[in-house]
Amino acid sequence: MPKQPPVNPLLGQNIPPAPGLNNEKPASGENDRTATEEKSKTVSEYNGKMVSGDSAKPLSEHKGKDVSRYNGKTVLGDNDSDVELGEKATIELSLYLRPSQDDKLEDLRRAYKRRVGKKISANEIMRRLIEHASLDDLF
Amino acid sequence: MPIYCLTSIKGGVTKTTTTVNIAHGLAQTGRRVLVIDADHQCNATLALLGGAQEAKAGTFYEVMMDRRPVSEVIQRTKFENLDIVPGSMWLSNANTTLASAFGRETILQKALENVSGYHYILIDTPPNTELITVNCWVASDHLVVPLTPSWFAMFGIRILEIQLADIQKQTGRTYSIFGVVIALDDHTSKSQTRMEQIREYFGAKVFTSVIPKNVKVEMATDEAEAIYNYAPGSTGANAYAQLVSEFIQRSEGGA
Repeated sequence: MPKQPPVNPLLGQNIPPAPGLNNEKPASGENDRTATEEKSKTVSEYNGKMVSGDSAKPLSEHKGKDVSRYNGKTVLGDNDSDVELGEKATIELSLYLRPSQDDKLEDLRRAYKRRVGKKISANEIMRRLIEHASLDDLF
Repeated sequence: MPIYCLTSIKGGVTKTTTTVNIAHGLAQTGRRVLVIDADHQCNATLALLGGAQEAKAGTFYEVMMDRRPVSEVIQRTKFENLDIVPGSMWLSNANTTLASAFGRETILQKALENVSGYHYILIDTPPNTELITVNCWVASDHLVVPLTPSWFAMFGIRILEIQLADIQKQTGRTYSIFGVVIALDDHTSKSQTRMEQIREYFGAKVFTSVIPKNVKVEMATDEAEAIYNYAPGSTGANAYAQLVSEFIQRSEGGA
């Protein structure tokens, strides 16, 4: 039996979800320009499933996020321009990647940012790949 | 928005490591966290940003020396929910300049007034009792004291208590210790004895979770990664995860 990779130990701590912030926006200064792409993801357990990232909560529970317009569509999230309110991504799934695959995913995100000028999340990349994939791609 | 100051007179008791790992833990559980690196060694900055600038602009230096609001020097890190006010190496000489400044003990407190949007603010302090450290105490709501199970560290506590009593007289408010973190336990009988002494002295303030000496913790800090992702199966990651849980329970339990 293959050995399971160790999971984030915070998941086993039964930590309650973060309390609300009363829609306070974090103060941010001129140095926001130095912010790099987010890599480490929020971990939590939701509906009994181990989840990671912003998808840890359903869309309706994303408090304090900016709702803005992107390409004529309403989108949700700070720099997360991929979640469309009209087409919610609600299925939560945990995914194990090999380090090389994780690196490639990160490379794709960076390359997308360079070419398009907008960030793309790993979630959105996976969604697009699934949409474009056919059975032949698996052989 | 409680402000926690991780402080100890003794160096090398994992003030920075504990600050960074609690911050990562809180952030990974969905809490928005701001770390203020008040130590001129900038180790928290190195651990969260992966590097430190030699410039004074946009750092804690400007907060203390130019009375710039904290909100103007906050930087986002690559970690979700985790922001930082970077430290500055130039603060090593700041205490002399600050000595003659008006309202010198409350500079940070005032600079924090318009900061909002965080569940927690954690301040990493230098290992001394000089003006910058005093500013951190005055600006904070709670003190967290990391300790190693050693005689030197325990002696440092006595100095801290004397200094806090002095500041208490000057400012008219109490500076109670929110929690004591025992770190760098090497599982020797000597450590065990010291830990028992620490628990006897501080009672329930000592967190149940004890952070063991674990090389993975240091490696994660060196690589500017969160221990929970860098080495999730390590004893260090597990101990810090338990500490974060206890920290949240103690902090938010009555909320």
